[in-house]
Amino acid sequence: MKDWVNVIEAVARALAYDRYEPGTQQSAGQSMLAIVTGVSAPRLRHRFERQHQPGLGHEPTAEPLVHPYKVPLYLLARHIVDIAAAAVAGCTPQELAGLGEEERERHRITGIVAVAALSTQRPQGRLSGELNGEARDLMRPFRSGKWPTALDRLAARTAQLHRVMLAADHDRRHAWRGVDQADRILAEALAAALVGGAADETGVPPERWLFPFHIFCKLALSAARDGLVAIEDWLGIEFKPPPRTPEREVDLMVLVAGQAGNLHQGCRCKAGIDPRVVAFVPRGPCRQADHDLRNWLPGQPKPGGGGGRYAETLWGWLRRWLGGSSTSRAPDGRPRLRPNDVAGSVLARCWLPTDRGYGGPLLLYDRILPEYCQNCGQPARPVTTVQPDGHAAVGRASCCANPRRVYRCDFVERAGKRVLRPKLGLVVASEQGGAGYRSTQALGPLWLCAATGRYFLSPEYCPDCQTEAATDRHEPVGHGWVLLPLADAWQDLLDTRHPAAPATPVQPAEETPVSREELMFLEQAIGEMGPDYACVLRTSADAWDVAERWSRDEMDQFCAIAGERGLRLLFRCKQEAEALPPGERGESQGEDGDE
Amino acid sequence: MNENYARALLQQAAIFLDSDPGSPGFLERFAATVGGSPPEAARALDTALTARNLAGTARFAVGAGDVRTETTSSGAHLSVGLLSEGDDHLAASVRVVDSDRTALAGVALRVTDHDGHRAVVTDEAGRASLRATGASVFIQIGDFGEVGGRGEPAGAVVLPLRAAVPATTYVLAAADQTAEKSATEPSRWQTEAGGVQFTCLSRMGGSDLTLLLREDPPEVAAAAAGTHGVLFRTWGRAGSARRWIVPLAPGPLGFTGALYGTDEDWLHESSVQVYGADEIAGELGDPEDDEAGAVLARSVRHADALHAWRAMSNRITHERQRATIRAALDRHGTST
Repeated sequence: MKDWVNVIEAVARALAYDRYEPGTQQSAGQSMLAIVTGVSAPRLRHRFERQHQPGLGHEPTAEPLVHPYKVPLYLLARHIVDIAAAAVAGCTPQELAGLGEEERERHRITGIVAVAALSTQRPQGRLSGELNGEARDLMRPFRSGKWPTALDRLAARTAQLHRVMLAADHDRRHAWRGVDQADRILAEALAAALVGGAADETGVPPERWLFPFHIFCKLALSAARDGLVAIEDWLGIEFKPPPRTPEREVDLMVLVAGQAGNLHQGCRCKAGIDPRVVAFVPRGPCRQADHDLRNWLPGQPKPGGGGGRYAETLWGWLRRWLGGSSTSRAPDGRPRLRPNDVAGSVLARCWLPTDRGYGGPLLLYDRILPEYCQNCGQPARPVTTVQPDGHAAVGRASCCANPRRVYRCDFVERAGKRVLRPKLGLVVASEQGGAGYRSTQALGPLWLCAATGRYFLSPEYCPDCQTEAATDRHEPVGHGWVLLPLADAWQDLLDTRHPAAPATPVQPAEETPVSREELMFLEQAIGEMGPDYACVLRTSADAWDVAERWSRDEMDQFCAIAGERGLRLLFRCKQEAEALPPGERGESQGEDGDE
Repeated sequence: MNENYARALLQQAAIFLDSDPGSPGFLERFAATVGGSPPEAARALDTALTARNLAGTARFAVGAGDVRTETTSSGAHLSVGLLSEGDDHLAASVRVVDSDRTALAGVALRVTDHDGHRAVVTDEAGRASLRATGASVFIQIGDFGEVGGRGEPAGAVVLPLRAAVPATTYVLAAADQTAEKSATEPSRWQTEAGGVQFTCLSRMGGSDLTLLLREDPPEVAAAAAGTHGVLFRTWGRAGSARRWIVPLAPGPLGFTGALYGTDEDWLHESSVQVYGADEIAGELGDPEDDEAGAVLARSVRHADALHAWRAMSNRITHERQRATIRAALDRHGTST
């Protein structure tokens, strides 16, 4: 185990003495150490802003400015890695260049890990060049806890990634202005190691390791931007906010920062998915090898013997993770993507399913209801015909002499039994709803017959198995999406309401008066709030009399016990109590009062 | 239930929760403000209450060009990004996830910019987008139990300390009743809180704050330098809250003090208090405590009127505080 306290202190002293920029008077407040341990200093921010001002020879709108992501690049361009490595080796940067390659790389890795560790600290006050009293405060966290072990692990993982990235680095197409390629590769290895959780034992979350975390986020932002444009090109649709606007940039920034802070736990792109987006029970954390930064080995064969290899660069890893697996283009200029590439990308799952208040089209990965003919069993085949007015009309090709199309789930026969294969796919939905797909949500919950795969609307009436009662074979599936324009399959779905059911969606049962059982439920829940709350509820007016006096904290307490059901009952009690003539409500209160 | 209607109801519920004082009669007020049928109202209230509890509390400032992830009191994570669109307009995006990193829908955030404060509510992906004016915004999530200095609800508690745009491209600042351009120095920004007028001059290396006690209390009027000081809290672009002490000294305009080279954007309105020297020491607590020591050291480091600090250190009767101030003065003296 290395003596990390001494290593970090040596690096801190070297960075504190290093000049802010060549040719100017040294200023401890603007030293590399001050920049590493803080966010960008006012003068540094001003410098970055000037770089992006029009008329200074730089493209002003090529990349909106994000200060924190610029700082590590600024430091790398000023050879912070060599300065830190020289401090570790106890020599000058010139002497460091004379060392053997292996020894030099070892010092460089140790140096950059020390810089990363320093970037977790926020010293109070200005740092003087001598670092007298400040060094003690700065080093304090590294003396205790599990820092030395964690830094050893981080250095080991960085070295491993660095080694395989160098071996796989055949054709690196990206460069940072003023940053040596060797420094960039090493910085990427450190960023991947850190965000992948190599330093978790310190208990400091990845987003607090400013130097490596911002390198990771800078690359991720580029990959997210690129991935989104690839999806838009593939679909031929532009999502809002439009590309190359600050609104989109800032939205992606926040997305990648949040996702990067999460990656040390493994990819959770499939955890907590809104059931409205994936019409199944969420499938838990992602198990795809390509999505797990913790096990990433750049350019190496993936486990399983399928012949696949891990992405060679960090940008490549991010590109696959955030935006689909391939960026190559077909001869017509359309990216070679498959629906699975888009649906599996974190970006598509997290960024596209909501309109972010811009009213744009949405891209959802959701349940699609396929149309099948009941007579011949063939799936419906959409055909497009051009109308005399030049508009394209979508219809269904005829499959047999007497087609009767219904919405039915795909299935396969396995050991003589039908195994349902619900269809999930990409759905583009617009607010106007004139094209693409339409949701069945307005019709209420959908039901699926496990025996035949038929979708229908009444839980008690399956048109295929003609069951008149709820059975285990029928399961609710929430909602699905149907192809527009609507055709006879839609009418068939509407006809599957129970014969006795009204034409409009069924009114919820809450319209019935609050029952005695429901009042007892409320009574019990209120009683659990504490001895002072115990009460006897005879009528809904009694319940409302109790609840209408509660404060927000009491309501919060009640919600924690009774949940949404309890709240629903209270609102119904309120409705009923207010519907009573004033005299009757008063009588009810009087009776309670007498008791 | 129509999805758009449910979303609108949730938004109203979250905003109601954020602005309501929470006193008895909560449910009645909720029903009157938000409406909806019992199942709709129940779902919206349940979701908004749960989201509020999971989100916890946090408040911080973010500058243009910054992206930051903060952890709230409940362990939730709040990611904020802010990008300049040119002039003084900003595009902001916020994402809130709970401690399990699951997106939180229906969380109301109070965003304060140069145009005032407003509430935004996260959507089902835990996100909210907004546009703002100025060079930074102040974001508050949850209730800190504070009321704005002008009787406004929580969230109106901060005032901008700097002009919306840098002095080089100065235009008429966004209208704010308590902050206005100084008539004599157009590049200065003025605001007032707790009877103290703050004048800010933005420079390349930071901004200078001059404090002027506008309404001299009788006990201050005849006082000498260092007898009284102003204690206040600010938020800078670096994000976290910082407390400051500025000792006051008599001058031609009244009692004044100054801080030089700060990076502060937002003033906590109700935190501005004028105290006597010993009261300040009492408010700060033990200087051995890192935070109190840091306040003293930082305030001395950014002060210009060291004679006021020396006078104040002579007046303070608490030994430890006096020693800490003198140590800070010595350090400041050697470093300058």
